[in-house]
Amino acid sequence: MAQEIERAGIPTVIITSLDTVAHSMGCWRIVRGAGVMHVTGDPSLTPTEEVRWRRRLLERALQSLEDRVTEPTVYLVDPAKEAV
Amino acid sequence: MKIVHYVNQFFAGIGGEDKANLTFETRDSAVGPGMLLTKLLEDAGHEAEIVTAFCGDTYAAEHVGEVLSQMEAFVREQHPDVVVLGPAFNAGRYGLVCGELAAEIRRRTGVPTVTGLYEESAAVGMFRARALIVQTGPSAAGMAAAMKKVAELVPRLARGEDIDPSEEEGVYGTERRVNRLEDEPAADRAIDVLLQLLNGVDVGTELALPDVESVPAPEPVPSLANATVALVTEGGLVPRGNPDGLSTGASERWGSYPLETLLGDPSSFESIHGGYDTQYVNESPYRLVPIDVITSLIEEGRIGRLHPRYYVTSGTATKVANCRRMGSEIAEVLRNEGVDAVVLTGT
Repeated sequence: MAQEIERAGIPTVIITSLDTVAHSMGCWRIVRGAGVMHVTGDPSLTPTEEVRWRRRLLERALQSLEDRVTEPTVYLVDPAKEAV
Repeated sequence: MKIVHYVNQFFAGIGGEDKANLTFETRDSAVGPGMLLTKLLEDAGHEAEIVTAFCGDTYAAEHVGEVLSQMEAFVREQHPDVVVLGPAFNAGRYGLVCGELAAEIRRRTGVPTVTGLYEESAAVGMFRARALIVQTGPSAAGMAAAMKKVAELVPRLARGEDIDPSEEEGVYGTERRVNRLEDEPAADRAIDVLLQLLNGVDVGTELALPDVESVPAPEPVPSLANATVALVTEGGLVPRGNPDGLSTGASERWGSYPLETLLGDPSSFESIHGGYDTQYVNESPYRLVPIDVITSLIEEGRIGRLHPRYYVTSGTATKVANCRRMGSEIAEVLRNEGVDAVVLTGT
């Protein structure tokens, strides 16, 4: 679906934990989410921490929308912690 | 012959989505569909010993590296003749993991592998060049047919036979180019083709280029502070009771609902997606449609405007053609409404 919205010229960022699929399908702007069952959340965090984390995730997503991308790009919320 | 067989928590008989976080385990015997494989091999006159590894779908999809290492260690310890993954049919996470294991275990250990996937699975495109994949139907209703082909391939792989997927029936071709030497140089052959074309004879092509779908990268948003953002999700979040009767999967329709209601009364929404355990999203729908944070970002001026409705379908087992159609229908609405950017959440 993201590709069809991109085809209409609307920059789209897809937030997903299965970022390898999005990448192989040629989606341009991808942010790795926090898990299949809670892609923009993390139940292991306290409610306050979770909202703070969600905020960082969304900021990464907004950054991707303002970035010029030349190839399908996966953004990570915590590059230091997340394996590629 | 000895076989290592990998399945997920469901085919191992442990449970459904509620057990999708199960970590890697092994058993000294065949489990679930492995028992069918044993029977098919024995009926064909082969002695087969099967040991099993299994893992929860979500755990495996989110920890592929670890599962690969554990599977590699298990394979090295067991010395099998063949490793069988799944088959996974059209399952999303399970299909990805089976494809990855089939490709990587073969590459790392040299042990031949075979798996089975439905043509719509994203894993087919991702792994067909690196793994032997049997063509299956869309669901486990096709287990007997799929295992029959697997059972036919296993003894040949165990014997060391080099199976060419492009020449084998019932298996996905690699779509990989294979070099071969022609008698005449390319320049001579090209002139021959040109002369025939000039005479009105269409001789076709020596090399059929693959149909690679690619959409140009949309221009970045110059400034989100002046932009309208819309939210889309394939995670199946709908008002409780699913008033439009959206499918839990294999979707053909999408819906749209007011974000104001989701923000004001999140407990009045639920996920009807049939492909993942929805308890965490049902507890807090912002874990799928992050309208709480988006609203703060608008209040702070980081985003200009929010498109008032979000768009939803359930993505599991949904045909690519339907995804494209629904995507283009939603895109048309968004374009007409002057939406500048989209945040799409996928499970």
